[in-house]
Amino acid sequence: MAGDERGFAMSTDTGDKVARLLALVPYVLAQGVASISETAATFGIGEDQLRKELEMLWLCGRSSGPEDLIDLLFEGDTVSVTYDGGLRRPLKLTATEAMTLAVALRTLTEVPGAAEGGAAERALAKIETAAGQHLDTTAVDIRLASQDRWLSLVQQAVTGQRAVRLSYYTATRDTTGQRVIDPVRIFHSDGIAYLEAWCRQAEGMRIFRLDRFEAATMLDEPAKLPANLAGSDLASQDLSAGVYRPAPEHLLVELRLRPGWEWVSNYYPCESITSRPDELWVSLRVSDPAWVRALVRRSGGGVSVLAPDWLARDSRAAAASALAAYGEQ
Amino acid sequence: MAARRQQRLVSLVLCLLSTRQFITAERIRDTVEGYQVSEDASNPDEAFKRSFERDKAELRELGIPLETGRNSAFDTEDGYRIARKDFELPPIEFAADEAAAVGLAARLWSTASLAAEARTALIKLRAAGVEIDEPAESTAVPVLAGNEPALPDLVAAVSGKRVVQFEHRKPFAEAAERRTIEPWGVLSWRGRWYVVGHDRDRGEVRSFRLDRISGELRTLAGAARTSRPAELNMLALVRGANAQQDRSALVRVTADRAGQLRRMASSCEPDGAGSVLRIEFRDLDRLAGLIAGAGTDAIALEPPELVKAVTTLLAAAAGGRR
Repeated sequence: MAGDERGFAMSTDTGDKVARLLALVPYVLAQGVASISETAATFGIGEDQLRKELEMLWLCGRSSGPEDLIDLLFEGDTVSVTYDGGLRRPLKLTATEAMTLAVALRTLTEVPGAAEGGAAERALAKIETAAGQHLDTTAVDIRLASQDRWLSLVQQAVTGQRAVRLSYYTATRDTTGQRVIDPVRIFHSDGIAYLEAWCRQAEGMRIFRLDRFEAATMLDEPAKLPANLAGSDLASQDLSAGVYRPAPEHLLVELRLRPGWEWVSNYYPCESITSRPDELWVSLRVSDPAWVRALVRRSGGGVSVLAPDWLARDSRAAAASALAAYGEQ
Repeated sequence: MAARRQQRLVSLVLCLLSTRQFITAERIRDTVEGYQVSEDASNPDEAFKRSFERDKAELRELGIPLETGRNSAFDTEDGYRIARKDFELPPIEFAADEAAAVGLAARLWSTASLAAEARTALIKLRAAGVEIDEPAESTAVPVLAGNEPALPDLVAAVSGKRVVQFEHRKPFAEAAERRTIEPWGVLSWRGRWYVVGHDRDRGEVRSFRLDRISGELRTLAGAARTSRPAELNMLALVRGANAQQDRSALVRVTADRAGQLRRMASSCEPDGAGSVLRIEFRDLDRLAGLIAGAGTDAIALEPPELVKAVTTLLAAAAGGRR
């Protein structure tokens, strides 16, 4: 199960296992009656594994007498705690756990549309209180790429069909202009995120690079698209190869992503993503195998093809023939 | 065996939590389920001592504070206990929007190296009764790049003011060099992680790219002697380290191909069927990636370290492994 591997990264490690065992009793206590399947999902393990671990807990405690042992009640798909053995609260957050959440919360405060109304700041203060110490979040300094900062807001505007007021830098004219746009969709090409939208000022479909946003606000008014806008009007259809739109008839490719290349799974729509130790396996539909060959070459082994076989061979051969050009000089 | 040890550790925690008195190792051996198994071992006392030492170390690793002390002046040896206030997560409550923010925050790490820490933190909060729903799939958050194995230990070392040692490979250097650093902080910038700190051997502030750390990161005994100056700007420092002044590359491209490189070029000279581009660059790795991506349509000519970077990428891609 992918869940197993995603949950506790080192689920074989005794320490992680014990940390989970210590969290299980208070978790089930907090639920009152806990569903086995939901609990397994929360802890990122399989149901069989969860049952096995709960049974381990059942026998834990002091051997001075049975009255001191943790007692659980299994009923159908549920479990509840009859005696907690003194394990009523979860273990404190470790310094790294507290820091991990705190840094991410601080980063969210820089992302418009992610956690509005100061929720991230308030949550951060509570994590600090719980950690019992001031967390110096500046020790983990995260500089978001401009396009990452706007993705959240743009996604909400597309999903919620809302108009956006945009201040946008136009490189060709070297100017920043204001406009109101009606978002249609987001796509990624070569690692850059784009928003395709109706531009009210230009009265046409336009494509905006998220990394050239200078400011954006979601308006209360709904997005309005011209009624006669047909699929063929979409500007992204005119873009040259490289723009990636998956379609069922496209080739299904399975890629292995090594550390540093996981972003591929975020930037291209994947049909499946499986975490493995130190790598991700993803499958996605590709309109042009040349894109895969280029990605493999560029990554220097960071991305490799698992399937189909012919494309794996092809990609290696393409890299080898590019390399051969250097031998000839 | 592993399961039995995990059970024993949980039982040990329960035993030490349940008491205000310090409990001696001897009492623990009698009371805690799992320590009585070594009777037919050749030296049961020695076996117990070893297991108990290992277990204590494991609990400390988990952040469970073991107190040692004696109940009275008549005790002849130290006993152990766990203070509940140091063990338990204090009461914590979140408003719905705060809980949602926490869930979203954990998602930021979903493919980065602190994913496991984010996950265990969420589990503890849920076990404390906080309801955190999985964020809707449509909620996009920036995902932090880089699954750097060294990151969790570095963050721990920064908060704990510890000293670390690692092998660091300079670009295009054959051998890795050992560095001993008092880390002051880590920086994520342009898809890469850096650690900034005091380099003990060089006696200077230095920054290192995490993806150039090879092998294990070791946390040394003893505390760091330096601490982060308040005015330290990690970005400026890393940028400074990366700010090779603009350099100039020559790249031969085939006619009408390698458009991305053509757009970067400051000049373009016809050369047989194709052209030779002059490209000013700062980030050698990025340019090398673009050239390697273009395959036979682009060939790096100058400078030599660019040629080396491109051929290294291509060789790795051709071999199918790194």
